[in-house]
Amino acid sequence: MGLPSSIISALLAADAAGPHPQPGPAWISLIVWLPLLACALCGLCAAFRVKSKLPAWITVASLGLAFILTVAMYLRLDGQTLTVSLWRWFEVSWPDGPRPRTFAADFGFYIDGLTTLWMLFVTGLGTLIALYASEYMEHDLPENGGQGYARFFAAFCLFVFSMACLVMGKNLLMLYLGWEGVGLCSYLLIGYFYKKPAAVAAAKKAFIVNRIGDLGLALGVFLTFVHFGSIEYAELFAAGNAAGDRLAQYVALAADGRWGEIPLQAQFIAFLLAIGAFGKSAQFPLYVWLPDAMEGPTPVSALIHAATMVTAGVYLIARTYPIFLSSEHVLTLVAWIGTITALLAATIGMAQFDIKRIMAYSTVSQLGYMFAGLGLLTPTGAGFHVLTHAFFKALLFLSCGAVMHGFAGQLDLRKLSGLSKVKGWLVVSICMLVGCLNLAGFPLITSGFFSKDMILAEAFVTPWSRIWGAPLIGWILLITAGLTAYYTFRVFFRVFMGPVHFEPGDEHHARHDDHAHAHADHGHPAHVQAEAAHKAEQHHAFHPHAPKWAINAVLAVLALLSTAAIGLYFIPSTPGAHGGWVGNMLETSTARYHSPYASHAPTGTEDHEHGEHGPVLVIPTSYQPDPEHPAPEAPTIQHAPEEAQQGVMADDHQSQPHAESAHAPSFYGLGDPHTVMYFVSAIFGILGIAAAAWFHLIGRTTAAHCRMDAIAAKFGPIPKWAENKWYVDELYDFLFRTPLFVAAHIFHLIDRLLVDGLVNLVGYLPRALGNAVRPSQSGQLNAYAVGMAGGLALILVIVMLITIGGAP
Amino acid sequence: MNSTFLTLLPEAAMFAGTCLSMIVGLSRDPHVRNQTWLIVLATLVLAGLLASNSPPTDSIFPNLMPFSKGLIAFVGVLLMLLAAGTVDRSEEASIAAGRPFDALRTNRAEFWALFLFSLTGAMLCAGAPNLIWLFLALELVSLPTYVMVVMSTRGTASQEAGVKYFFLGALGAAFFLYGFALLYGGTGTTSLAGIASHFATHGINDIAACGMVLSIVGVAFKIAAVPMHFYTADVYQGAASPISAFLAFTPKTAGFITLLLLVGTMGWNHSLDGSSAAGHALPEFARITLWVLAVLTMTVGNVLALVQHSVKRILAYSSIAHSGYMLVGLIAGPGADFTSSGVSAILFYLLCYGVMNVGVFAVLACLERAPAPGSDADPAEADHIDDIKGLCRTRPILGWCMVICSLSLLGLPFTLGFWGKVPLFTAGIAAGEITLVIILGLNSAIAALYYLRLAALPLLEAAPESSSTLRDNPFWSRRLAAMLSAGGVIVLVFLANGPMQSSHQAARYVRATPAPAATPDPSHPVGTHADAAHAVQPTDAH
Amino acid sequence: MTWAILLSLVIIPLIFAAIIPSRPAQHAKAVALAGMILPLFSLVFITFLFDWSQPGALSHEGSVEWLPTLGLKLSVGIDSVSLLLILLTGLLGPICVLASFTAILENQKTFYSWLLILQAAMFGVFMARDLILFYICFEFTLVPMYVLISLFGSSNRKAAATKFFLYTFTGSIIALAGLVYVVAFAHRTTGLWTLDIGALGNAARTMSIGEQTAVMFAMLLGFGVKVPLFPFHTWLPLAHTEAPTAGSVILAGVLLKLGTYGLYRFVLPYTPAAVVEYAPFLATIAIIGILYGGLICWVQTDVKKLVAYSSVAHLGFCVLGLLALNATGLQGSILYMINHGLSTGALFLCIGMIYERFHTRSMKELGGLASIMPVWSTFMVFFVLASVGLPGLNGFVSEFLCLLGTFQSSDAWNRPDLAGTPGRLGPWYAAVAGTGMIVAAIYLLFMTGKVVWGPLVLPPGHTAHGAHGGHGSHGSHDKSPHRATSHAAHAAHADPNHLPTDLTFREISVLAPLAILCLALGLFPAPIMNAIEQPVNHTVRVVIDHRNAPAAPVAPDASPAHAAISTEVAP
Repeated sequence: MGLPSSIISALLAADAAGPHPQPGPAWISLIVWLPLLACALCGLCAAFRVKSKLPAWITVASLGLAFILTVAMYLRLDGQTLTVSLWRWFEVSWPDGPRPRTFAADFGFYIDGLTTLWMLFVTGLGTLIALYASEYMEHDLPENGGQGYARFFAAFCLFVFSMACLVMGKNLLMLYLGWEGVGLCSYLLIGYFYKKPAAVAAAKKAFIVNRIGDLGLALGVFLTFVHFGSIEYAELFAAGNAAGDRLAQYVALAADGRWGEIPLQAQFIAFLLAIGAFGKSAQFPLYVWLPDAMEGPTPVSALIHAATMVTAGVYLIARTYPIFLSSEHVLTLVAWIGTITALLAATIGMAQFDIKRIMAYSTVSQLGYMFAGLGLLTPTGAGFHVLTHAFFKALLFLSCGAVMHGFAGQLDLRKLSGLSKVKGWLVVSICMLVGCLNLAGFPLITSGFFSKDMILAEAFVTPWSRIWGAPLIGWILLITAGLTAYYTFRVFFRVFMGPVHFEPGDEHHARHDDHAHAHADHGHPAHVQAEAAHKAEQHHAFHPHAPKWAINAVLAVLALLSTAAIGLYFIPSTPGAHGGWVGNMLETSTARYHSPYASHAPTGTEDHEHGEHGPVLVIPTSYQPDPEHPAPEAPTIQHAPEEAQQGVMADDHQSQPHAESAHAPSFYGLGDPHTVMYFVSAIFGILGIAAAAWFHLIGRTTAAHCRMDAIAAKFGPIPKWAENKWYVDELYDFLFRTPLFVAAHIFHLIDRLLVDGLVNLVGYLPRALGNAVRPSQSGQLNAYAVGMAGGLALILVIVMLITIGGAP
Repeated sequence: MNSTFLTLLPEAAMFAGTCLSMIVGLSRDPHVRNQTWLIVLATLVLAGLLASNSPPTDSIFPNLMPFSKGLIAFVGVLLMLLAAGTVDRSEEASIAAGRPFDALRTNRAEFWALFLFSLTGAMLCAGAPNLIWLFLALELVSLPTYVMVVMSTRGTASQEAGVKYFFLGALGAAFFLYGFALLYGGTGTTSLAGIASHFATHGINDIAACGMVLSIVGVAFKIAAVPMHFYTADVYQGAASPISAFLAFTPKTAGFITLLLLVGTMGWNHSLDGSSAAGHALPEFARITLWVLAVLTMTVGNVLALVQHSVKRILAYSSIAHSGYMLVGLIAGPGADFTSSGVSAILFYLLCYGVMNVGVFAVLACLERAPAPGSDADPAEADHIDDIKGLCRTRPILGWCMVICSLSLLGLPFTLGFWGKVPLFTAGIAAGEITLVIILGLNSAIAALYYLRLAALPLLEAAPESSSTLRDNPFWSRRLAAMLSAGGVIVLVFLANGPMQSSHQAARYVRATPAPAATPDPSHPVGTHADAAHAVQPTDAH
Repeated sequence: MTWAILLSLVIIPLIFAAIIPSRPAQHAKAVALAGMILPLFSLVFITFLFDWSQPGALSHEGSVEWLPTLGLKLSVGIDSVSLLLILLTGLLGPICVLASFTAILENQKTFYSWLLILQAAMFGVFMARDLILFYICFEFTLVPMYVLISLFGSSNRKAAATKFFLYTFTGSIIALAGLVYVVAFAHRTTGLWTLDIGALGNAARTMSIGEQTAVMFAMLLGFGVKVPLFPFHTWLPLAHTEAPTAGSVILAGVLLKLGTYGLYRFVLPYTPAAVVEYAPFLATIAIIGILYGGLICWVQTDVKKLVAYSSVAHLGFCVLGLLALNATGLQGSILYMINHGLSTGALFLCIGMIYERFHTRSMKELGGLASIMPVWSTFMVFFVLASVGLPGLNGFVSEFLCLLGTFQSSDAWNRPDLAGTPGRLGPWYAAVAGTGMIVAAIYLLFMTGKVVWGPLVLPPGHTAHGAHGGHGSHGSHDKSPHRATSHAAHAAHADPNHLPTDLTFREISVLAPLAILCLALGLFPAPIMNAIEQPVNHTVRVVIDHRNAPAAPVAPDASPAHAAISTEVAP
């Protein structure tokens, strides 16, 4: 029957390609330039040793302005795709037979729903956290003996700039620019307390591990270019040009499950890109850098290592979702990696005692959820989880930061207890509670609950045939959800509830010392002892200073936001979309995808069957943003007959996705997973909280001890292992670092002895030869005469030997 | 006959000059005596002028004479400046102190006479029409030098050197005399042209071949090629620096001219595989002989120079190595134009070598140590490698002359030495002697090791204690010689075109055509470009 | 007649070099600075008068007979590639003089005049259109460098200088043999004796594969030592560690580029068939250089040695790009020459500034300088990032292009539907070489972590003296403040020209231009890419068109016409 309908429709769609991304207004680029400007200004402040908080205000102002512009951009966008191209960054062209080839990349921006979604919370959170930091970083103000205040904000702004480039970039190269840019900023900010060897090491580790991912990304970019001939989103994801049409065709083939017809090369691209994403988003093999990254100041952890940068991997996959869709196994890989990461990180988080690290592991774990969401064909769910997670995780980190700030860097949950009862800490406690509820996915009143559900539900919707072991993933994620709830509230119950008790951290003395940098003196044992002595005598005199307005205000706002995010879920979707507001955002982006299996959220449009058959017809055009929303019925109706053919065709190969999608999926007969999941995950969540309460709250009299200790003891060494992150770091050291280091030493030896030795030998040979011939110059006349005669004879012999019979 | 006499005008002038200087050098009036060098200078200039317009001969190298005689005269002037005051210093001093003049005790007259005789011999080689002439000329080059070495200083070292030089020289002469005899036996004629046409007609029989090898190896003594090199270091070190410079140039030039004439008789039109088919190489046996000589000479010379601490010995061994380089040109043979002609490469290299070599020796000749008080020995010349340390600071002019000339000997681009090497490279490669050229390259890299030392010590090192006892030699002419040659090394970089041109003309080679009686060898018309070119119009190839 | 301006580049420094000895020593630096800056004006003219419409053609071409007998012409001319490298040279010159103001205190006359001579020679190399002229300048750079190293270097300078000289000299003599062979071959086939670089190429490409291979390896011996390629690199760390700062900057900035420039100018167009034949082998060597050199950096304790070895790794990328034999790779490689010159040169400058202050380069004795030298640290980190290849800075552009070029250049992908180009490398080479990016991050951040970050460590007897004494006492745990200040006073006396702890204005003005250029070239490389596009594409076409050597030399009849033309432009 010739070409399958979907390809026909793809080509049709290609012909009838909607308008290409239109040039957008230039002011959009201000969103990128403002942070850079602020960075430059902060740099000047540093150069001129500005004493005041000026850098902070500059940052807050510029980021706030950027946020406003982003909102304006959101309003202006209205479902279109805009591109702003500033200048030609790369351009290499060469004649290739008849037509010239070009490797070109603009320095410019590509704005669609996905971009806007990300930019909204990047700039928004950036502003808030900058405000928070203005107070948090006080002790680095020059008058407090610090030198870092301006430096901090400069790097902070640079980060926002890079993140903006990453998200708004109009091609993969711009993304790469932002990608490594954020890597650099996280390097600079993790290593902010640069006198602390641990911080320096952590920064180095972060950068290098990220580099591994970056290599994957770079190779992915290369392969994308080689295969599609372009790395511009506008060409890759819009029909009507070679690259776009080819990708469209692949997606269509994929939708038909005809993987064999998609070149492996193209399928491999997704794998390479995924490696990059794993690196940046701290997924399973490459997650080791994130917990160490907590050496950085807390606002940094909140912004970079919780809310924004680490979600870059999710963004990358969402951005290039069509490429991932056209790859048979990579989405499965992504899903499983995400799941494993989620579980692993949760187990580690359960055993940690440093609350900031617990939050770090929870971040890793939640990122795992997002990847699982992407793998389970619900970019919408992933996107929504990114959004909610950004808010509540920032909230959690900032709360921890407030504690750290108030208690002189104390982060050990065995040394803090009942803070909610301490004067001035109520706001923090409440905000912390909100954050914890979100993280634990407490039913109905938290946005985290809904976003997590969207992902969990898909696990039971997506058929095993498409994503291998999807239900397994679902169950693992459910269990993880329980564990998450447990370790989250473990923190809350131990630190904020229970008997009042606290010990200050070792930064107490340092902060009032107007000489040395607060964190400077970790490295030096002698000094630390001095610190300890100081603490010992003036421990009783310690008064935690409660957070002032900036911190409290920011926390409150974040708490409100993360609760308000629930609303987004219930905003009616545009027809054909699902997942509420986020769904609408992604609907107009390259991440638009409708699971053919079940693509209805409670707020989805009423015409379900259309909704679910939609994709077969819409996929080819789906990465094709349609500016003025076409009436949803139009495509579906006109494609209805083809859809029938699809059905017919579906029968003769059973591995057809639609085969399952014919009968609506159900959660073990209990009905639509999306609905059932509310209850299931709620149960898991509450169970986790209850367990936490039982083990860590009820009957706990001291800060240090609780029921859990007894239980943990029963587990033998396992908790210890978990606390030591299952020794993954050590494993990596053993597998990679040590061998490389040894190899380096060996190479160095080879270089010195063998390579250079040979050179020297060659250089020495003539001299040796000279010394060998030298005795012939004895000065003895007769010896000389003999030598001459002998030489003559020798030459005669040689000539005779060689020309024997030669001479005529 | 007439034309032959014309070609001999320079030699005649030289002879006259010799006699004149012998007389003037014995004048009782010190002022007259001291002006002998003026006569020598005039003689050389005159000879040079006469040489420049001597007519082409009908030998295989028709234009060889003007250039080579001019070359000898030109470098002779430099050597003369350098040699001034080598002998009779203490004698003159004592005469000035009041001792009566005694013609038997003074050596100046003899010295200049021998000097000119030797040069005359070298000139005569260039015009030699037959083996006997050639032999006599070669001996005329050498015999005076034996005496010059002995009389150059009053120390025993020079006497020992002279004796060694004499005996070994006699041995070498015996070798090529025997070789000449065999050549005669093999071809039945002593005339070079005759030999050439005999070879061209009947090929080269084993006797002639044997004679050729013998004479090549024998003449190798003159150019101080391995295995005839043993005397070099000792003699150079024993003799006074000016004489060493003289030895490094004059016999070498005579030797190479002789080799050209001898090897030229065989022609470069043989195929490499020794078959009678035409090619563009020497007969195999000759090629092998020269190949072995060249490789050994370069390598042994260089590696031996590496391990020396006496500048003179270094230079002696390096002069061996330079002969090796030039032998490459001999193997390459003539070519259509300068860059592909090994012969012109040799002639041009002789000029370069003469100039830069004089420079280095001149610097040494300018430095001396006062003799032990009371002894009437001549002041000891600077010789040890430490003596030239820091020269650029203590004696800038001498120091820089040393640096420039050493770098030029090293063959560094932007010096005359490089221009000397390039034609050897191009000619060698044009003749297909890739391996030989690579060896040549590697050797000049080895040479860089010690020349760099010679250049670096004056420039970079600080003068050691021992050099504080050094004092300047009173003879300004030596300083002049040093400056002239150092200047020449730089100036000729820009003006080398003329010498290259004339050396190329001088290298014109007319291959002997078989005697009409003989059955023409089919392989003859084809040959190198050179042969082809000259076969059609032997008058002028440019 | 504009070629006179080109010649002025060579002549002006020589004149000033001649002036210096005649002036009192304290004027030497001023004269030298003038001698370095004046050519910049000529450079401005050259750049503006350059025929940008035909960047692949020779602009400012001109020649006078020098030694006609030898066929030697004093012929110069530049295309955009040469122009770029000349600009780099001209830029680094004054910077080197400025950077040596306080570093070189005795023998100033010698130092500066040789520096100027070196500058002239380097200009000469890039503008020479005549083989021998090129070789003369190429070789002549050795002498000034030899003097600079062995007079003004540190402890082991004599050995280093000699090794540098002999190693490169030997290599390039073999290269000369190869080149002369090409000349002789051209003479044999075309009957025309020419030394014109372009004309020779046309003849050389008609050599049989065997001849091409031999000639290629001969040339590789010369240029590969200079680059330096993997087994021939051992002179480099030695020379770099011993050389004075200015010397290192010139060495890394320009002299190494002579090698890659030679590869680009001679090896690729002269022996295309051999290059294609051996591309995988050579690429492997380059990759070995990348990883081997990089890993060795990791275990260095001498900062300067570390950067020196990093040059080995970086130039591995450069050579790899050349071997990709496509526009992407070649452009990347040429940009790499410029970028490496800027960033690595700047790194050497930074290290030199540290050495002037603390008289050590050992990472054991230096640490946490950020706390007392914020400005220096900023520059240091900046340049480290530039040479790590951070996007937005110059290093990234070239590295990315080199890798992309390598990735593309695979015959299997040379299909209309793919953006591959003919070549013998491919994704695996790119992937393996790409790990070099990781290694680079490892060693450079390792160095930064030790020297810039971390607790303050200063060599014994030193302390944070000068302006920021107060700050200095921050990190110095073991030294009580008053001891620090006393040290400061002491150091102030001890140091003949006592520098403040952090950078002086002069030093900042040395580093700032480089930093600006790194940023500019990182963000706006497109103009340069467009400038070199034409010549590069021409070279690529030449190589690809001749990737199969002719079985027999072409008939001489057509050849003279060929030989007459110099490198003609891609239409």
